[in-house]
This record gives sequence, C-alpha cells and structure tokens, in this order.
Amino acid sequence: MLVLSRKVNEVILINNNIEVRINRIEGDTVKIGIQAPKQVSIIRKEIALDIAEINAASVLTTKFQNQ
Amino acid sequence: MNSFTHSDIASMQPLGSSVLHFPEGIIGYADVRDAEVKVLEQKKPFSIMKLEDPTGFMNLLVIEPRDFHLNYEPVFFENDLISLGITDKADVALLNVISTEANSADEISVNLIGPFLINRKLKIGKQVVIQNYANYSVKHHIPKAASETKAS
Repeated sequence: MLVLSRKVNEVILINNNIEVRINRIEGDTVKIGIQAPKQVSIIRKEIALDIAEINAASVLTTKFQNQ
Repeated sequence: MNSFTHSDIASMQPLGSSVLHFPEGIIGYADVRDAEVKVLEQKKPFSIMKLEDPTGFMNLLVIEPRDFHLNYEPVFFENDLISLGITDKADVALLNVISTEANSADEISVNLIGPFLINRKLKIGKQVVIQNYANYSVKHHIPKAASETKAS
C-alpha cells in the first residue's frame, strides 16, 4: 500500500483524472473532496461490507457442496 | 438513463425464471459466476436465486422491485451500466435480496442498497451499490400487505 503525507488543501492525483483533496481536518475526522469522472463509482467501504454481511445472512440454506 | 423513477420501476417487464451470468462475482462471494432464477409460483412475487461457484451452490430469496410497491428510485453508477452493456432502461431487470428475520417468520426485509442489476437481453448481471445509497437501507422492512404472500 502506498502511504503519502498530505497537508490541508494538498491533492493526490490518481490516473491523471481523479483528484483527492484534503479539505479539512477536525479532531480524528478528515474531510476529503474527490473529483472524478462521473462513471467512477465512489462509495464508503462499509456499505460494501454491509451488503456482504446481509448476503451471508440471507442465504436460505447452508451451502450445498459438490460431491 | 441511470436514474430510475417509481414509474420506471413499476412499468418494468417481469424478468421471470432465467439463467444469468455474473462476470464479476457477487459482493462477498467473488467466485459465484452463475445463477438460476426460478419464480416460485406458489409464493409469488418471490423467486429463488440459486448461486453457483466451483465448489457448490446456495440459494437466496429475491424479489423484483416492481412487485414490492415501495417508493424505490435507485440511481446507478454509470460504470455499472456500461460494464453490463446497458444502453436503454428497457434492457434493465432488477432483483433485490430478501432476508427473513430470525425471530419471526412473519417479518421480512429487503436489501434496497445492493440490488442485482441485470441486462435482460444479454442475461448478465452484477450486484451493485446504488449511487443514492444514503436514502435506503440494506434491511428495509416490508409490511406484510406489500407482498401477496409471506416468505417461509
């Protein structure tokens, strides 16, 4: 994993078309602004984890293993 | 094109029983590539989705949002539509996963944030996160009156 240090208002450029800006730092919260082409999906990771969890909880039966 | 209104959802043609391919797997089950949807004639409007990976299979209970009569207006990420070759709203079918509550067989909920987005012509799909996820829940309670029969 690449780890970079950035100050407020400094920007990281990804793939020449995605900008990640550190907008503000308040205590343990960092406000991040992301500018990306509209076809790029950006979500909070916990949303994907919530869906994985609800998928697992929604399985009707325990998994049937192939013989 | 990527925003679906209540009337878009309500006027969708039913997907019905079908065999689907998920080129990217589904969330939490990256190895699942194939699925078979079977309408449960006795328990309409629910269908069983059998998900297969190389080691076996499992079943989910799913519903098409046209049948659950909620105010559901999902907005999709453009890259999800592009990756499935969807160029027209008429190409789209949706399936949402149902959960039954552990403590009560009468209580069911539906995942509104992570539907299966399907290109009904190409029979390929993807479990996506909708762009307006903040407006919805992965566990939206469905009143019994909203569905014709309860899941069991």
